[in-house]
Amino acid sequence: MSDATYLNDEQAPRISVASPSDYFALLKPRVMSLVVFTALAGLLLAPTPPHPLIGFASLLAIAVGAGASGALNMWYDADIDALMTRTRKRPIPAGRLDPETTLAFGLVLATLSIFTLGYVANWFAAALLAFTILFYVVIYTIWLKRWTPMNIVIGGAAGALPPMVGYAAATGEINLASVVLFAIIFMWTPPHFWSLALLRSEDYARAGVPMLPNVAGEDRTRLEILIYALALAPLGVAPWLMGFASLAYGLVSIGGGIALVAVAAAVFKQREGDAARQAARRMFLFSILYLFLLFLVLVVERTAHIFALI
Amino acid sequence: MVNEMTDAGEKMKKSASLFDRPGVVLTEEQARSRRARNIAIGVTIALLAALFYAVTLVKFGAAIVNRTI
Repeated sequence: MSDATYLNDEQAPRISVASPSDYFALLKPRVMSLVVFTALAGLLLAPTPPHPLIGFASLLAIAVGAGASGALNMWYDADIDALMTRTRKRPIPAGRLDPETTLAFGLVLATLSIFTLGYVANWFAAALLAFTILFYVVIYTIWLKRWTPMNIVIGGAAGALPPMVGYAAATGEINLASVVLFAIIFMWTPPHFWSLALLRSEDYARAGVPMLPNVAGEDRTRLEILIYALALAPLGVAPWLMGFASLAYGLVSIGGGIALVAVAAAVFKQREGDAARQAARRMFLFSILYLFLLFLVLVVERTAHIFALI
Repeated sequence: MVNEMTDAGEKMKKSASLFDRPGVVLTEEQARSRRARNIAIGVTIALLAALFYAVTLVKFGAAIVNRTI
């Protein structure tokens, strides 16, 4: 206890006890790692790769931009985060950070990341990063998330943009290959988050977030997951069919796509009890593995291609 | 007259005691977390400065040595 005495708690100055790790948690590190990975794939697609330091600094700026989006999301969603089991330990609902500080932190990081990417890479990539942050915060978080069950479908565009930002950072433009990577993540997002929503529907209902299971029902959600998986599987093969990925990628994407559809079909079939929850959990986890594998193969073979060039 | 002088003396004592107050004294936890935040900010700014310096060198490339001495 302080030696200074105050008539009541309101008179006492609010002095933060937040640690650097609380600020780091605002960046949503796991989402950030996915953004870095997919942006790296986009960056490596460039015909002439950038200088390694420029590439590293560009990825860092993209990562910080994604982190800023996460912080601004946590600032706006603090009220509903406090109601959901999955999010109630985040820094604001847990009382370790106040909303004003989080807002300032997010805005400073967003500005810093955009101008850093503009300086180290080019201003087209910086504009694309600014659009990504704006889309995630304004279109998804503020507008769509609490309004429509299609929130994750449209909002997913923000999470899908990093490969295009990465490619733009390396080349100053976008090409069809980077748009295909965007499309893969865009189609991957709904079945991934809807399988989570099946597991956490009570959480979302308590917070009043209109996720598909709460609005259209679990059966409709299972059908949508299967439809999206059926659309995603052939789309995942497209990089090989279009000639910017190898046969190894083609085989992984075909095998992964078949497995993804099988897992989604199990979600569609198993509708009751523990079996249904197991199927949804398997879909959630396997979708992460699927996307990770596709981009891992791309990153590895593009890296090998660059070393062969050198 | 005597009363006025006594009042003035009391006021001086009060204002002196204001300066004697410890002001905002941080608890151990507050001081520890502030120190950790300060170190994190310092390290981040130093790394950022180093990164910008290195990136500038790379962007200049060979032209960095093309100057009149």
